[in-house]
Amino acid sequence: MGTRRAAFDRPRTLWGVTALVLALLYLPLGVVFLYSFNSSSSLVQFDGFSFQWYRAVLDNGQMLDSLRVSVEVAVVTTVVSVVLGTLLSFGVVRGMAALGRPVQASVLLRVVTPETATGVALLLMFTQLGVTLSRVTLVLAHVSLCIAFVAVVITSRLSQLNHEVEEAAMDLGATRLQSVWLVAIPALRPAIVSSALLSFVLSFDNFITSFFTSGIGVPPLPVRIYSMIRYGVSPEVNAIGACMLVITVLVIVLAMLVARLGGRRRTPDFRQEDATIV
Amino acid sequence: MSESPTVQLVDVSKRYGDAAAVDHVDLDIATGEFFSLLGPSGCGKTTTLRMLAGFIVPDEGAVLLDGTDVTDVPPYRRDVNTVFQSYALFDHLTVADNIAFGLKRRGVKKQEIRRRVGEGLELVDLLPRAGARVKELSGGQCQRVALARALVNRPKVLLLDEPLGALDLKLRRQMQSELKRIQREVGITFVYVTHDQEEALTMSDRIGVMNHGRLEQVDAPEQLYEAPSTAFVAGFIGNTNLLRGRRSGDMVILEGGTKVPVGARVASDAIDRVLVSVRPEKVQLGAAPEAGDVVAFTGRVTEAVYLGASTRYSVRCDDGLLVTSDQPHAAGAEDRAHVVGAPVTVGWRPQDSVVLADSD
Amino acid sequence: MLAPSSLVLLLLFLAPLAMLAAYSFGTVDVLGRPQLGFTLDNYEQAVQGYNLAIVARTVWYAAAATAICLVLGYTVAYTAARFAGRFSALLVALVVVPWLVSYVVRIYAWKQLLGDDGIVNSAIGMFGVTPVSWIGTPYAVIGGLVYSYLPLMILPLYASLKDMDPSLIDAGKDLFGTPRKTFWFVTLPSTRTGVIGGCMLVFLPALGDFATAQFLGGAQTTMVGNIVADQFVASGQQTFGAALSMGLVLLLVVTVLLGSLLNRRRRGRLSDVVV
Repeated sequence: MGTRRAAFDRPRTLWGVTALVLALLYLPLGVVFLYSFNSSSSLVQFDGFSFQWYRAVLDNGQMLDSLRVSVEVAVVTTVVSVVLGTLLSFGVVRGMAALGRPVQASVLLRVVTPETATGVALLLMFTQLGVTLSRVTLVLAHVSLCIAFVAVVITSRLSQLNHEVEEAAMDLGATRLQSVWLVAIPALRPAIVSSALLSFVLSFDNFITSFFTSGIGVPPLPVRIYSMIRYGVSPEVNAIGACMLVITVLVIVLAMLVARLGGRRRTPDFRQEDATIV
Repeated sequence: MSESPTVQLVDVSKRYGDAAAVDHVDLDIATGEFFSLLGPSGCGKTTTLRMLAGFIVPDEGAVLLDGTDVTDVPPYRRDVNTVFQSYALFDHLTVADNIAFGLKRRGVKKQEIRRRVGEGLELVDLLPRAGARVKELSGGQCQRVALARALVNRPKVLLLDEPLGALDLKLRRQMQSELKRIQREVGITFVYVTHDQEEALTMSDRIGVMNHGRLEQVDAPEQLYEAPSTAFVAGFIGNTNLLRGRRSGDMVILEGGTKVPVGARVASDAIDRVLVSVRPEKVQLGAAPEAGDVVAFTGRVTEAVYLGASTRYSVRCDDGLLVTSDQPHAAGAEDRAHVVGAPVTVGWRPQDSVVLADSD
Repeated sequence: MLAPSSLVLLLLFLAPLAMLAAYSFGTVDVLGRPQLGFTLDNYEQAVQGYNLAIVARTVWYAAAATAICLVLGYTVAYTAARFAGRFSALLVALVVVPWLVSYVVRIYAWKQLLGDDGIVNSAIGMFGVTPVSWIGTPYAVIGGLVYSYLPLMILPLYASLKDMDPSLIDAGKDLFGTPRKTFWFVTLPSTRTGVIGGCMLVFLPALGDFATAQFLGGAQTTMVGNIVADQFVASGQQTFGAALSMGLVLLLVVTVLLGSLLNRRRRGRLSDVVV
């Protein structure tokens, strides 16, 4: 009992568990990454360094087609979701409260509803309405998912944002629209960037919703990988998995850089002679 | 005050549900005046200020600026600027860009913007910080930026919503005198909202005291203190003894039965229920009854609180009245201290008292 | 500003769900195409012995995964919030990054690790332990679910631990609480919203998951999601799939109601004080 009593206050035990969790989280990814460079097709023994699995991916036209579909869908989804999700947040936080509540409730419901249910529901609707599954239905399905995540991120930030700042802009001569564009949007920039990131990653990596709504054309990458591993593990998947990992991390780093660089703008220095005292 | 007032509120009301936030307020503010709206939180002072700024449209009545009705003019077309309680600075802009914001919206020429921003920075002593980000500033500096940002637009009226509330005491004192200096320099009409009576007394030309959405009294600081017109004003500004009684000719019969003469200051015609207000520093304490025109009671000291510059005595009079008296520690007054339990005489001159209506 | 986005939610979320609900009472024609109607056959089918066992198993797997996530996630979030100093945000970011890697890649990674001749077996083989057939066991499926959704547990827990006033812990100790009592009676209750939020974010997607059970499980570990997917993708009976999906939605509604009930539980009852 004596040792357990102190556990909540003793960082060593806590750090131990934390380290273990981190190791478990990264171990599988490390393995994927490492074996993507394996010169043999073994998934146990590392037999030497080689790019052969990456070459196999590059030579695989179908794989590249899927990659292109995934990127295109993710980009379109991100743009549409961020614009609509931001509008929605403004409506909910700064607009009419009467309509805002039910809209906010359906946003939260959308976030927690299992994708299997929403995925088959969209599939059912598309087929019953006679809509052929295509890249368009895929984007629509992804937007339906991502808009909710964007709205959650931006709504929470917007409600923390002091409303007086927008009032100050109006007080200084900005119209309602200008006060949003010149003051609220710049203040929300970090939230907008992170929600765009989240959108991109959710769409690019999405499997369950895509699985039901992508149809018979070129499937997005996760669905392609799914059908590959149905027939057992293949070292080629390690390479494509590693590529996806790198793309995801690159997008995150890039977005963070954009967020940081864009925020810096130079203003001229004011010197004593600029001021002509009345 | 013969020229036409810069700000006029004509019978203005604003209701939220059943509660009246502002209840039939009439107010004129003269050009170049430093006017304060003073009152406890929830008294309607901020609502009044926001109606002047244009963020709230009154349910009834009119808001006039320089004689023109602006009741329905949106904030961005009103010649009025605000210093917000939270400062509401734009985090993503530099100090200079914050100050230039209003000028840019109005399409002022670049050269002119540069000149006026420079002037504004000079006025609040922030020239070296022009290129700084808002996050790098201290609280006092943020306050100055907010002030400069509003003033460079040369509004007809500058509205200030508890602008010093977030600063510590020492900085607040310093900013008070600086605000006063700036107001004299620019000559713009200031409307200042505060709940701090000391702040209002030190800075204002005139003060409007608000309570429950109504303007209780509008007067110069001295008048408010010396001749309050309601019990609320007497109690809100400074400390006072409020003694219940009823009027009988030139006398007031206090609750204990003692009669006191009425002085020159009578703010109410009420007969049955009146209050006699006497400031503690006007209440004299002595070992024996004093002669002359001083109303005097005998009693015993029940409490003595040392306040530094003075001592506050509570005296229970023989007829049951409780009276507070402040005795300054003036030079040579050291031996005049009273101990708890000691018999004393308390008294005041009738002209130092005010007769008020007892509203509750 | 609300109009266009609300329309998207209405047409692409609420309308499909409504259609799903409608078809869950429908029938299929000879070609297997769903037809509207009113029959409870699909629901009856769903609660028949074999299917009911699958529903129960799904709830059990999701609940087990949630419990494990809670214990591990609380430990990590607590460490990050209280002991990681200026690295606390970095630690949380480290936890989130694997979650941003595609779900299928993550499952694939585990399939590879846990395979009969995978790395785990060859590692324990080195210590003389006989290889275990991991794939197909409930352990593999629950473990996979934990791996997939753990970051969703950590984020809300971390947020509520960061929001918590640290002087509360000092106050707890000041009032003679041992560290353990302080944790149970001060820290844990004041992060209740985080606990409830995190549990919902793990439990709900785990309920609907199907790829984990497909790749890490076997015939004995089928989950509701697998059956639903089969009805819609393979030549199944879509109306039955719709009824099962409505079962998922029903479980969702129950969970959300339970969550908000726990969140709103009246505080300061006498029993709380006496305990």
